[in-house]
Amino acid sequence: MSRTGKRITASKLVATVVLLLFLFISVAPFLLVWSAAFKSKSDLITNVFGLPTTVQFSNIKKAWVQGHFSTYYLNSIIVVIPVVAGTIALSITNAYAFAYFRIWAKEVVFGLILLGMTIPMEVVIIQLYYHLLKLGLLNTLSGLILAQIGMGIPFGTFFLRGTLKEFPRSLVEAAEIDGASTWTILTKILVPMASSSIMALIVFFFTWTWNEFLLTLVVIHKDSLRTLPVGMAFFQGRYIGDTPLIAMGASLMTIPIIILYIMLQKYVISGITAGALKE
Amino acid sequence: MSYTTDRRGVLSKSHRSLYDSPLRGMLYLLPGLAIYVLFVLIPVVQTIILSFMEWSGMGAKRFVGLANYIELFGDPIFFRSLANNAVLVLFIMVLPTLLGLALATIIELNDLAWRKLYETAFFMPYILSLVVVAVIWRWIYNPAFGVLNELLAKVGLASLKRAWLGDSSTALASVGVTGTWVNYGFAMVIFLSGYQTIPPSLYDAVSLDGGGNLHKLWYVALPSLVNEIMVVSVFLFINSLKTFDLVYVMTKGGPGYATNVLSLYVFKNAFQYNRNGYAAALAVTLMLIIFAITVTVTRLRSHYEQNR
Repeated sequence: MSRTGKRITASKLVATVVLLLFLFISVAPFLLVWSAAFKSKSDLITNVFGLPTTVQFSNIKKAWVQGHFSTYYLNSIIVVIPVVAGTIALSITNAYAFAYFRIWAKEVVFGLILLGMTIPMEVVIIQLYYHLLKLGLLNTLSGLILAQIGMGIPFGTFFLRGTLKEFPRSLVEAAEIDGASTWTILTKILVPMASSSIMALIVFFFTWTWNEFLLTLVVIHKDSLRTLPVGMAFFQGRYIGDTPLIAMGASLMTIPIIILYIMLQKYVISGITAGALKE
Repeated sequence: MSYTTDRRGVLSKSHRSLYDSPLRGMLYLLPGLAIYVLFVLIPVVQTIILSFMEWSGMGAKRFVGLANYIELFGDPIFFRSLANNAVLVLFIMVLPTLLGLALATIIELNDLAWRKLYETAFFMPYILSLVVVAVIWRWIYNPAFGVLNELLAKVGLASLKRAWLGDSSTALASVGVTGTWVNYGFAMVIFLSGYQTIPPSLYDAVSLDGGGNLHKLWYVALPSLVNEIMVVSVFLFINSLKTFDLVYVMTKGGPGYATNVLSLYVFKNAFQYNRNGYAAALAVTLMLIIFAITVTVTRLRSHYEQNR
């Protein structure tokens, strides 16, 4: 069988079937949840796999208002913006210092920061709780934000130092001879050159912060301050018998992120895998 | 370049760069370093110290030497958790790596169309919060009207219906399968991008010699992926040791201790049983295991690179 000059071999056919099967496995849970979100409780019991018999839009409002998803969304956004901006800004200045400056005990200090990349969150949280309590930052979004920035700095510094070290040194020296200050060299020359690395880091830190659970669970106890993941965990406990409502909560959390992901797919995949590969 | 006078008043040409000034470098380093030290390093050092103490969270800390670590070696729940983590390594590292490798290879060798579609779809679960993934899968496993049981009933296997997360013989594997589902697409994407670096001429050479897909796989594709396979395995290995979100939301470690993992055991000791010293000893042990793996792998990798 020959079509447009390309032969469809048996191996190709089998391969396509296998891939389509996995495509189904990856996507089906989402489709089921999104359709369950618009069903009534009795509809869901008799009809797990089909589309809703009558579409229940009331679940949206119920999850958004009574279920506090509006609050959780707002808190997630309030946290993610300063964490991503702060972690990247401080990682840039750190990386700059390590890549170009003469610093006392540079290797030791750098090693100390690198250590942070392998320290699991579990080791940090036990005492962070009491530490934040003493500083008056427990149960505040500022405490959560500062702790997240601290946890992100090691990887950001390591990643960007690698990027900055790849640039030719002569570039910086030439600018210095022209009378540029170290700040101008950083902001006008190096940061624009590193923009693709910085873009990857933005994606990486965004997903990392947006999805963080354990730290937030420990630091935040007020429902009005919870971010989406922790809010979701408590939400499903509150409405344990109402599967369609829980499915609606899950849909509110997944649909916007998946739309964003599909729009920015190229950056997301390369940003997140770059993060994993460098670690 | 500037001219300065030294202490004796002699004019000398100075080659000192702005970048040689330690003070200026410290100014750039200070803000980031301060936040890291304050919110990560100090708590970590305190946790290490605490692992030699007994403390309920209030009142005075009592120094107990190595007692927490000694207790840990006689604690069956600790070993149960460690064993559960080992099982999760199978589901979160081994299976996703093998599946990802197989799928990437199938796409690559058959030069399939729709590559972008597969990448996008398989990677999707990985970008989402594990909490929402766990909530979705809890419903799939739900004993009453859950997706899996309904599906089994539909295809005539109703006898297999069970409370997947409530039954201690299936709970851990059920959590594990969710972990596999999250991670295999991530592995596949990395392997696919590794394959991109292979020049097509190498495959052509195998074809010219009369080799089929198996030869291409064995002599060209797999050898070029050694580095990616190593990176993905280590990354997922450490992730499986740190498993928390999935277990916390799906089973809280139950039934009994059937799905209890190290990370959850740390959390329970610190924030539910008020055994902070013991929690600290557990957490430090977890950290040491991760350190040991990281150091070993880094050594192995540099050894491998040298012998290439």
